[in-house]
Amino acid sequence: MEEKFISKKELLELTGISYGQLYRWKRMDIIPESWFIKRSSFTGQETFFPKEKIVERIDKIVKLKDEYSLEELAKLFSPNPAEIELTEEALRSKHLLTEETINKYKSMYTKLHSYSFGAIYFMYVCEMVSKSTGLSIDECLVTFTFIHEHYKEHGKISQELVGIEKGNQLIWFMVPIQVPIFLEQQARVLKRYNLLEIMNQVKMKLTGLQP
Amino acid sequence: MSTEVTSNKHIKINGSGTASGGIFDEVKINGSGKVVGDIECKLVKIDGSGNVEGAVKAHKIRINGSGTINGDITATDMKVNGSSSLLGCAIIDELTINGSTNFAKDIKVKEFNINGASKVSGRITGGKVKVNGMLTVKGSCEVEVFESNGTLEVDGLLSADMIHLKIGHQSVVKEMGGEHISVIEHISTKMLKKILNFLFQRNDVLNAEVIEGDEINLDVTSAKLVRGKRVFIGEKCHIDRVEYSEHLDIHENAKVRETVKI
Repeated sequence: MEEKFISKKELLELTGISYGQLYRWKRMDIIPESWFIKRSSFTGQETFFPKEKIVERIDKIVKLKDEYSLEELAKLFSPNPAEIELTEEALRSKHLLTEETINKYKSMYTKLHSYSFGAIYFMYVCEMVSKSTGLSIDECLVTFTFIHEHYKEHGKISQELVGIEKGNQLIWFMVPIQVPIFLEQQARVLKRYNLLEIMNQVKMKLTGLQP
Repeated sequence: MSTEVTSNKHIKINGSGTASGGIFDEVKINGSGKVVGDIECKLVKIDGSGNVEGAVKAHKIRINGSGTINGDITATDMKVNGSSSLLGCAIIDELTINGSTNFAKDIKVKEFNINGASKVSGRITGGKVKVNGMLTVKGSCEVEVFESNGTLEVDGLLSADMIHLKIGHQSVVKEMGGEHISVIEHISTKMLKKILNFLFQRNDVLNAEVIEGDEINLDVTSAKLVRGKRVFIGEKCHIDRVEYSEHLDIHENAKVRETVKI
């Protein structure tokens, strides 16, 4: 399906924004540079944008610009919303996590001014595992601390959370995705979670945007 | 030829000594000495032709002479008096060049003041840029406020909320975009320049392909396309096409091929 494009001129006309705003938002990375596509037209070089994406983005910017600063908007829209920091109030208003999860996390990590993306994602993973395995949220928050600690590994290679069961023992691993796991006979893979997908889910829910 | 480490905190190289990098209070090179390795400190001072073969993370950097830094730079306050080659990326709050510098990569600045000449082979992003002399940018320059007096070359996009150019010598900016754009002539009082310009029929203008903005005020500009809300074209302009949405004013002596209201 061919993507429709819109010229800069038509875009300004359609959205009512000014040149000053467009260039400023480009500079602040609220509109990705990659969306500015140069094509030759009869007047020379003309700039085009993927129509649906840019119109939607500008719509969002116009709605949010009085609420957030340009720097905050840049973080919100960045392909790496891993830079997001939310206040407790903002986090609760997203209805992404249960009250219980947030409260239990708070009691574990005191002195929190804001919640980083890493922390929010961690809580989300714990909630998810808790729901699907029946483990309590407390247990998960404690058990999966290593995911929180090794959050940076996600940037290097996509990770998977694997739960391996042998008898009554349940051990959790974080391993790169698509690494084949071979086990002894008495053990089996109980659960497998694609952390990359979960991370993208969290990003989408926080920013309300398609990746 | 000596290298003193007066305390764990101070490194002072006199002459052509060498020291290894590390975390210090102050690093001073007097002469042609060098530091091999990354430095993290409060002050880096190079008097002479000293060299740091590594990255520098400092509060203050002072180069008097022709010092060079090979690695990335992170600093609050950097001043170059003389000429300098900075080979890495730079993130600097306040950068002042008196003389000439060559930045090989991208720079991010809050305030960039040039008295003399500066070349940036990457791109400039940041707050305020003020040039008195010459600036060459191989990439784009996207800042909040851009002011220049003299010669300007930007091979990519020059964009700012406010662009104010005073053209003293032939300048080239591929693309300009912003809110308020003004280009005026720097009237030289220098006799020699006036004579040369007259003899060689030289017209120091700004050459641009596209200029887009909300409020555009141009003189001594030669451009293919000018597009804006309110556009004023001055006497010494040569424009192929002007597109305006609200207001257009063209000086009777200006050369404009076609105008379109959009």
